[in-house]
Amino acid sequence: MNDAAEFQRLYELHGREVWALAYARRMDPDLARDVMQEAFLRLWRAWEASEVIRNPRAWLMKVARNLAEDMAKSAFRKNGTQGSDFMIILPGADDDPVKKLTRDEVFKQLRSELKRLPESDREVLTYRYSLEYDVPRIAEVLSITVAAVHMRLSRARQRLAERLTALGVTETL
Amino acid sequence: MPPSEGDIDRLLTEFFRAQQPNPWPTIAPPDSEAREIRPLLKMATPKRAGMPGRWALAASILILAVTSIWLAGLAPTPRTGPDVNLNITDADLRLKSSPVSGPAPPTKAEEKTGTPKDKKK
Repeated sequence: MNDAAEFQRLYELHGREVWALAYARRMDPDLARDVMQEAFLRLWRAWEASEVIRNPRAWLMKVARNLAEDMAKSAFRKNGTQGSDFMIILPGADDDPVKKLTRDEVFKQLRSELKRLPESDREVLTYRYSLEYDVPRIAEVLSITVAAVHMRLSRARQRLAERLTALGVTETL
Repeated sequence: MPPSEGDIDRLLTEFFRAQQPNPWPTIAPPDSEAREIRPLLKMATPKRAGMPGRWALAASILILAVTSIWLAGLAPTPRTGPDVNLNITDADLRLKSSPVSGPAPPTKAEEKTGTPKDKKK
């Protein structure tokens, strides 16, 4: 029986993973949040329509993947929303404003460099640093080998280090 | 000097933490009234929605093909060859249209006399 409790359980279990998948694809936290919400809403509607979903996690990930593609193409997303940079530079109550601005500038450059990485590398980085998954777990989630995860992580870190060095970002680390 | 792996690790951890919604949003199953409300974001049409259009196109092409074949079947085919006789007289037509090709059935008078009129003559 699919009910609210089961829905809540699935959200607790897979919500962050769905968010991470959408984020890794578009590097937009707001879009990723909207994708996550819409994916779960569709799951609920599918249940209401008596659709049999044998593997909710796989179903959610597939829906989220399609939604991330579709939403990125829409004019609303291209023209209608504030970029996430705007949110990041808002100073926190207990942060030193100078430090905060410096950090935001570093993050801005880091995001720009992350966007240049292959999507597969970004995906591994997101699972590693956003969800704090270890390497075997990432390999399981992405259905790739542990060696492939190590390789992608190492390659991505190296590229980022090189590019950030070239941009002079290392001084602020 | 390039950043160490530890520096990159720390930077990435900070960055990805900052990207996550904080606080993490809660979710509740929508009730029936909420489902009537249109979502704030207009979602693009799912890929599967393109299928009816493709089916309609395929059906149109099929109907067009069947109709053209049917119309071609209705058109009269010109008959040529030695068996066609264009000099048919009215007598020929009458002869062809008579249902029985043999001699005419005897009339009542003939039945009485037992002799057909032709034979009298």
